[in-house]
Amino acid sequence: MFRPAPRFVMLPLDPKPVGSGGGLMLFSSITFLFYFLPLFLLAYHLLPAPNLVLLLASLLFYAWGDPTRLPLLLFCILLNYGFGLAVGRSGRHRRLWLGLGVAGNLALLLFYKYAGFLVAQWAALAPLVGLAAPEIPQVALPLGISFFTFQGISYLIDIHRGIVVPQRSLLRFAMYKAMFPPLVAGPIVRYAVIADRVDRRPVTPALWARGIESFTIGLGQKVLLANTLAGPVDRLFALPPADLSPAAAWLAAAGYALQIYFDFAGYSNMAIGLGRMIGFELPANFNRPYAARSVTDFWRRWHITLSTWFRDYLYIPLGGNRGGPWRTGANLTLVFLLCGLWHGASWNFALWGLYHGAFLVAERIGLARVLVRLPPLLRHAYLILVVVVGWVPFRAEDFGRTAAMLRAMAGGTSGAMPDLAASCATALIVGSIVAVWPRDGRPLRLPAWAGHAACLLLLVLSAANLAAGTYNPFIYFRF
Amino acid sequence: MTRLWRRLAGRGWFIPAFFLLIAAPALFQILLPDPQRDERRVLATMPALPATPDQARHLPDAIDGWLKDRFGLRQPLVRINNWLRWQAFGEIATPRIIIGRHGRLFLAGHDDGPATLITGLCGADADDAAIDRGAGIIVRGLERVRAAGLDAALLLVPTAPRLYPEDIPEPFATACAGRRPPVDRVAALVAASDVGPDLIYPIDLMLGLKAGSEPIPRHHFHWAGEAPVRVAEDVAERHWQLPRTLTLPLRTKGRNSDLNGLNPGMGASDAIREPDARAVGIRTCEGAACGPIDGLTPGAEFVLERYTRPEPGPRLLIIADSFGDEISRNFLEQFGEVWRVVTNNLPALSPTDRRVLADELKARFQGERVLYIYHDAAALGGLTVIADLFWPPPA
Repeated sequence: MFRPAPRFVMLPLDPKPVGSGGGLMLFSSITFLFYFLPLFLLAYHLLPAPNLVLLLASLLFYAWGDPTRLPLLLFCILLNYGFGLAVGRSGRHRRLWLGLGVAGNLALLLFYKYAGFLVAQWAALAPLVGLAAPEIPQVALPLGISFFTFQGISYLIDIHRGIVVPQRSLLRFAMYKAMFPPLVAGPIVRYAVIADRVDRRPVTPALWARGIESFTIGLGQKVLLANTLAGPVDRLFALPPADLSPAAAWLAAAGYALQIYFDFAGYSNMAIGLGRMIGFELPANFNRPYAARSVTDFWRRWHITLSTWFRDYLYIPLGGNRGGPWRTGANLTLVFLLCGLWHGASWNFALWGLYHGAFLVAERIGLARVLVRLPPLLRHAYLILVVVVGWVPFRAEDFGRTAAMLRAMAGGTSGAMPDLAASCATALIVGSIVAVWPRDGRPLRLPAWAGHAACLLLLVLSAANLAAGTYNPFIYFRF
Repeated sequence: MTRLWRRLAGRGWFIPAFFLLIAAPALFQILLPDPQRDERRVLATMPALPATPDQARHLPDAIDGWLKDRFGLRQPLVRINNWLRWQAFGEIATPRIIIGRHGRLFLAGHDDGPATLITGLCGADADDAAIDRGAGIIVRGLERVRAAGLDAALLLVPTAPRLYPEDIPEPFATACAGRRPPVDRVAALVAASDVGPDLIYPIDLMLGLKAGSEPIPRHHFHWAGEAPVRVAEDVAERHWQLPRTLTLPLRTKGRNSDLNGLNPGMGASDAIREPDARAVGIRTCEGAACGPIDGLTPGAEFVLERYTRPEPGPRLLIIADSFGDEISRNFLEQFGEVWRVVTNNLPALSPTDRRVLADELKARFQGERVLYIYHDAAALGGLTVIADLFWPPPA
């Protein structure tokens, strides 16, 4: 019986159904876009208690697909609310309450995200020292736990630092903590950013309009670019090493670089847009990171709310760059190791974090001085090369796969350039241009009416694409 | 006017327009529900209220599935997507159609599974037992036809994988290379039997026609245009030695692809040089309009057509799959009246209705010529059902 060989014609097709995000309500799902969102906006703007509407909608959003995950979120809300009040009281135990609150958040993160990984490491080492290997626990990763535990930690520390006062209303605090736009994939919203809008927040037509713009642009980035690239990238990363040509490996890495950017930035833009539609100005999470010209600059533009979180709550408390080059290097390495592990309990993520940390240290101790003497194009090429290669361990399942991919990229294999379907090639070209666009602002400055019409067209195109049932999982829900 | 334009161009219309766009599917689902019949599958129904905690846990998934299948404007949105993808990128959203070389479209299969209509017909999946079985069914059937005293023949129509092997894309092309098409082997086995003359397999004629026309239009699964005219002439004049008493004029016409239905909205088409039946006064009737059949269950669905020309002449009964559609009226060049029964949906009829229909046709066409027309894939075993339905039972 004939079995087709691996196909190199890469079409953006995938049998996964629309709206099936593995038990969650994606922003780019039929259920969210055409039912949840219009109903929520109506209720939010027409009913007299917007905070209550937002809280209930957020709990429904989080529980969708698997209501058993809801108690953890509610526990996290109560934990941070209670410790926030305790830390906010003047007294000599403030530091103790802060430590307990932060430990509580970290304990949740450690248990749900890293218990299996840590026990697996111990299980691998135990026989070497003559001990019985423990059973590896199967703990389901709750949605968005990395985001809402970091949010909780920042809330408690900011109270301790006197940046914010604790929210005394449980309803308002729960609304902030459970707010669905950034709940499961960021941006990480610190309480200080929205504290003045927790009680009342006017939604002006201008803010609404900007919200719609952000939302539709994000939806287009996710559906039309990231999803189109996802199928071919998945297939290329799944190729047996023997079939992986250098061109295929580079195409896979470059495609993934664009896929993850438009997937994550698209989600963040949608969250920011939704926030504006209900009066919140959530922090920007991306600022054209692939237009950067050094790794240091890249990290000022990529996942900004995470990198600033690590800066403010880990790097600076560790001493930052105040302890000399060695101490700074050690701090950066530790921060980026943890940043890598934050993305997932796997040595590949640790490797990715250390890789970026190493370039940051190198730039700090002298590489940056070399880079500034280079023409801008070469500096840009350096950044793209470093980042694209870095995505290989991030995307590959294990070290073996990473090594095979890197070997192919270094020319250690032979093979043909894979055919690329026209839509994928278009997404790759358009995505590359948009991603590396060097100037501030939008690539095209359109009159308001044309910009609005373009946004609505983007919405229709994205909806049509979703209706046709193309590839739809969000990458960042893994984290 | 200027003021109105300024107001429209401001953000005044932007927010309501956005809201209407995202709310429209829900509104249409409530106010104008679409029966969504095009997909020919059972769509999800509205989930019932949960009675147990486990049902409650799975309720969101059930609602997702229901909304995914039933949201308003679903068909127009799917059509927009398919049209854009085809027009802008030349891509197709269903695995049932495969884009070959030179832009040719191949029907991969009758479901979303492997591309058996390509691999099976080119010989990559050659199965000797299936070839012997297929030839045996045809030989036994034609023997029964002969024994019943019918002047009948079987026309096997080659499809694109057989006619255009040079257009088969990778990886199928590699798998097909050097393989002998199974239908050729079936035809050779039948030709070597006593009933060999009753099988018509016009592969050489159709390959020859490729020089001046496209026997299978580039974006079609079925044959169309000039090839069915020439094959009809070949069958009538060479097989039955019937003189041509009418010449069908040909005209070029843009025609939507028969594959569009598998990828709604795609809008693929071909310019086809096809017979102009109206120009020579050919008339068509369908179903009960051609004369009622007593004893059939009311509403029994099957395709029965009759083509007539102004001048009288002999009659022909064609029993066929969908490949009989393009050729049937072409036989009016030699016949005065052609009847066509499509067997594709006959298995859906009750056994009684099938028997009533078969008896009626037998009574109406006793002593007349009968032509069975099927595409090549049917020769590999698919004629079993047809044989049981329409070939005369053993004496």
